[in-house]
Amino acid sequence: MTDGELDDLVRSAAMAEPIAAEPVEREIRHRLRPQRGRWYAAVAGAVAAAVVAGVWLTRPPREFRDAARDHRVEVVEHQPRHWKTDPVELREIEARDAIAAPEGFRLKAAKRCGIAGRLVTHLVYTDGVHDVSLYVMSGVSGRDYEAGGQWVHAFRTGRASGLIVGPPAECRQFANVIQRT
Amino acid sequence: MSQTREEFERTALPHLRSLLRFARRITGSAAQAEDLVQETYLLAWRGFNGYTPGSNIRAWLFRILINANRGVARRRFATIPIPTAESLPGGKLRAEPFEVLDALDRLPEEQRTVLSLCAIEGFTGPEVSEILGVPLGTVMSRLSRARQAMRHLLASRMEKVSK
Repeated sequence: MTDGELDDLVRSAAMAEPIAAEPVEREIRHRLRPQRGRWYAAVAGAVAAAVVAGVWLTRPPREFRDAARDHRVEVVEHQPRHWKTDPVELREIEARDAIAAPEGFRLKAAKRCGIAGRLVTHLVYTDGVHDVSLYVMSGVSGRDYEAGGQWVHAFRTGRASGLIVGPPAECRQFANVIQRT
Repeated sequence: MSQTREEFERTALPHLRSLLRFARRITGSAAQAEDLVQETYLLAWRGFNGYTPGSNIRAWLFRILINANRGVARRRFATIPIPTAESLPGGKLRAEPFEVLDALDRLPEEQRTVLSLCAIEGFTGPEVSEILGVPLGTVMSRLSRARQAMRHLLASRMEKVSK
């Protein structure tokens, strides 16, 4: 058998093999076309990333978020905690931290509390109806923040600084009094 | 449709069947051949600006396919040792198409590739040399060994059938 005869044999065998080219051609033509959906997906992705970045950048400092959650769990929902409620102890704490409370409010309870990885003093004032938390801690600042109906406000006096957390109206009362001291 | 893509489809897609047939031989699988050919066309489209109009687009596409196949781990055929046949039975070999293709698929990849390009796709030695990026002498020696091995495989098969 010559080279030519062998090549003919191989060629005719290969040509007899069925080849489904049409589906492949359709797929290739489809893939060669610009995919408008990809642009939509890219734009949607960019918008989503911008929204996430915006939320991330504008969200309050961790201390604000932790304080709001802590107040909700420990004061609003009254989950069991070891509070100091002895009047003598509370008077000592008040004298030490020298936080001025609005008229009608009294220190109801106090404890040490973890906020944003720091151990801080948590004071709970009440007017008999509303409870307001004061977290005495240094170096907090930021814009007022509201979460779940609770207001979080950073305060600073000559001797102490921290966060006030509670119903908005009562928190403002505290903020005004503290600001004057 | 942009003019360039239209031109690409018009000049490149007519060679789809040849590429599929060749890809089928070097991958050993119809599904892998389809994947490889699709990949080849996408690569070709990306590089179409580098293609010189009027040059051999078929050889250009085959070169891209060969390189694409080298770039990925694809199934390799289980080749069987083929003894050097100094003297093989003369006369015509009669074999069914599937037997011929089975024998072709048993060749070592380098030989199978060269024989497929020359015998099936009709490329000349220099064209195959350019497509594969190997010297012409290498192409011709691989082609010679491939033909010799094919003769031996087909003859062995005929002997078994006749016994």
